[in-house]
Amino acid sequence: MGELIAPRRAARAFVAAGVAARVAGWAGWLLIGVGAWLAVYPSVVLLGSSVVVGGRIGLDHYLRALSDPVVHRAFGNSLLVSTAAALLGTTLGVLLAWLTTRTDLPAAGTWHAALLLPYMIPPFIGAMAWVYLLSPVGYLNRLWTWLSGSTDPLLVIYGPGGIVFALALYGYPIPYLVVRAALERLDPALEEAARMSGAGPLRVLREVVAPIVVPAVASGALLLWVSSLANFGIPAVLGFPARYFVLPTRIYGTVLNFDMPDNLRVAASLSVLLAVPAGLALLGQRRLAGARAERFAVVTGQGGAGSRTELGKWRGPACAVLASVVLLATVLPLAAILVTSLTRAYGVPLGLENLTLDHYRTVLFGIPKVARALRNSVLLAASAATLVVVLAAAVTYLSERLHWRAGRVLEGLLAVPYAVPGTVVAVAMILAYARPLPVVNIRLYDTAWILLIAYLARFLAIGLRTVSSGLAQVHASLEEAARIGGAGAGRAFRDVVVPIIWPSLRSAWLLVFIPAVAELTLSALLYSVGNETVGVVIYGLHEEGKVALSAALAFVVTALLLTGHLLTYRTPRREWVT
Amino acid sequence: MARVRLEGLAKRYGTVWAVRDVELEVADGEFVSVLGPSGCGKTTILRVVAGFTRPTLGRVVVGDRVLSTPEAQVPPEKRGMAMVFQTYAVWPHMTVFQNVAYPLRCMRVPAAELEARTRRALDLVRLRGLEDRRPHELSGGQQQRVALARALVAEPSVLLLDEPLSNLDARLREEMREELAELHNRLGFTVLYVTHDQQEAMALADRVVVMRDGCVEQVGTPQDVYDNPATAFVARFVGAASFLEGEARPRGEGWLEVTLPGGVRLPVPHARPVAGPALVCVRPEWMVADPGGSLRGRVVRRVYMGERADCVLEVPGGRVLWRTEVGRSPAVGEELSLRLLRAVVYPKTAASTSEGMVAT
Repeated sequence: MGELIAPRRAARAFVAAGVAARVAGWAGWLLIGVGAWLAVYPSVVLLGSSVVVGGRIGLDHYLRALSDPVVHRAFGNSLLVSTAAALLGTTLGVLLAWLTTRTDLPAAGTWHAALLLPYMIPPFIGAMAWVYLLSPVGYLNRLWTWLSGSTDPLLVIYGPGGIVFALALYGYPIPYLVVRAALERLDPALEEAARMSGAGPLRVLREVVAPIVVPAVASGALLLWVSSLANFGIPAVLGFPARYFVLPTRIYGTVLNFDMPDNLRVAASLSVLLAVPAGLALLGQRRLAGARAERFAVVTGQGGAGSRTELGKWRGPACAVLASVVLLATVLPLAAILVTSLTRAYGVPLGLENLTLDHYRTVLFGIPKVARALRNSVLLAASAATLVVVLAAAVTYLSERLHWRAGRVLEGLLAVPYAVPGTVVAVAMILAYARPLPVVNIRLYDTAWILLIAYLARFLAIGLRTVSSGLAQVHASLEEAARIGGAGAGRAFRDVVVPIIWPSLRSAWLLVFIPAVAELTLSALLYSVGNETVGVVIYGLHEEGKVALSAALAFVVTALLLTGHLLTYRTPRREWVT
Repeated sequence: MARVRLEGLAKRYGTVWAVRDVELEVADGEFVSVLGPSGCGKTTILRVVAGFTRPTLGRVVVGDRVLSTPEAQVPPEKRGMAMVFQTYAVWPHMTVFQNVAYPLRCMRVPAAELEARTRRALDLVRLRGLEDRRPHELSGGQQQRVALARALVAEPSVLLLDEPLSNLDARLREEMREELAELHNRLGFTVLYVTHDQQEAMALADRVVVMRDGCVEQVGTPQDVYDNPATAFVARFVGAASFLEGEARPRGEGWLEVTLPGGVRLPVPHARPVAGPALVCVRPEWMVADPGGSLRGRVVRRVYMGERADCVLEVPGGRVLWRTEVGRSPAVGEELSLRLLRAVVYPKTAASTSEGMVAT
């Protein structure tokens, strides 16, 4: 170690560094190209198509859409249900966050894990479960008629009320996590100083905690609002039967309406209309979560236990609230799916004589489409996840270590397909790949590749964010210490960086795989015969009325997802928060 | 009357005792510093006195009010104390004025009086003119002064401080120290000041409580603690100390003879007789150069500090740090003899054995 490196070795290292820089530059350009192709090309095509009217440029599609009462209604419905769901879900999320972080609630950690489970249930499957429970012949309604003797159902889940309920029930984890993070970051000394100044616990909550946490609450509410606005699965399952449309389902209807002239271009204009409020809301959320929040986020130096409110006699009611949420969001729906999948036919009286495993046998082994769809979904999701992780690692490494400024640009580009509703991405992909690619003359629209591209475009942003926050924890000095010790750049990367960021690579993989495997929004518009995904099959069976088969498949998929989530829950919570 | 009494105070977390059997009486208007390394329990004591932590055993009594027992606690907002936190804890969503006025608002002081008292408090800490600023626009030192003003505005009888200066840079720390001392002289509140910085504790306090692993090692004036450290830990923690190991034998009035390794016999002035294996603790200024001195050694390192130069000498039994005047300090390698002017000798037990001979 005390010897100087021999001159020849030094020269070789110097040349290698130059080559590395050039490779990095070349790889950098390649990555920008990938990003542009994934994000910019479809966006340009989407915008372009929306202003092409029968061979010329014009805003006719927009004008027609804006004056079409059907579109008005859909747009209005979208805003209505999103706002209602955001308000409901945020109130619930704030209450739950406060209960699990700021009180002496017993087993708070377990409650927290249970409260996150709904996030793992694909929203459309959650909606289907509530159909089993609250359709006119749903289990809860049957229970009601049996108990009360009346013939009318208590509640029917179809329509805007049901949609708002389902959106809030499956969406509350978003504001819950955001507010929780803010509460945990709050320096407990701020509350203690207020106590020492003479303020009682309630006053402290009102005058110190609440004002500081408000930006997080607003941020969470906006995120939930955008998520509700973009949701396709829930309004599809709960809205179509009641002829209640929101913009994503209206766009879906337009794309499939082959009788409408120029239907794809109309869909494009509707997609742009959908993207605008979503984009604005997310920009607003960025501002809220940005500089102002930094000022208000007082990080505690010494992790003392934050002051906890003693619940005292409220402990019972608090646990009751938590239990009801877990019941309504997870237990009851899963039970409903299970029961439906085991009953001979939906609608027959429940009883041991009507239990059967036939549906499982049929759906898993009797229908080739299902096996194919499962295979497709897993393969697509896994490929997308792997590609995302590799690309994200490369981009992040280039940005952080080699100070590649274009990384920022790339992140910005890829934020678009992530932020924008999935339906919009799907329409953009259709338009972008409807015609065969030049040179190779392959039409991607009819293949599974279009789905892969769509998943990549959609999820690359989250992969980037997860991996870059992981890499940020590997201070450059760790790598430099390895270099001084004699390791080359590649070796230092392998021995020092990779092991430390491995958990975030794994998190990123799961953060892509899990939503991708059972997703419906993109595949509903992009699948083709032979390339169905499991989400499409489940939804299709449900729409065809083959409720029990649909339930069986849904249960299998959901059980797998939940198991996967529980098994990997050991990763730090931080990495699950997007 | 703001006399603070801690009676048999103890706190356990799970199986670990953070604080063990602490007895302390702080007189009205006295400035007491609780000093010790991290994990010694000093912050726990403060939090029990403030009312944030419930004691496992013991009581906290202020004046003639019992404030804390294992069964019952008076909540923090009703104790009439004030506290300055290490992280300042200045509320980011309020202006400087609103921060400082908050205790008065909680006491429902009428508006005119509130305004006057708040401005007076801001004057005390020299923050006039910054009333409408927000904390993020202030420097660390300014934020700390806001915290101090907020603590003083309610004219508390007891002021609790939890390492208030440790987040400030050295020069600012000294300035704030002087301001604190000045304010205490002027306003006369009782102070409980927690810190790990022994210089701070010595400079500010009327009495110092030295703690280690939840136990009180010594309580005394700074002078007491420095000149007569009760244990080797206190000797090492407060001020610089060197230790020599040897065998002690009483030798008449006020003298011991300590036999160091190699047979050297060292006369040590020591009031209390000690016999058997012993640790001799000498502070750098307790030795003087004397050609007839029994402690002979060689200078192995010289530390130049500007106003003084310290030397590390290798002697039988270990190494000692010796303080000299700059002009008369020897060079490295020189051999010389030292005589002890004073020392503290501890019987050598497992607890008092020190690892390093030269301590800072």
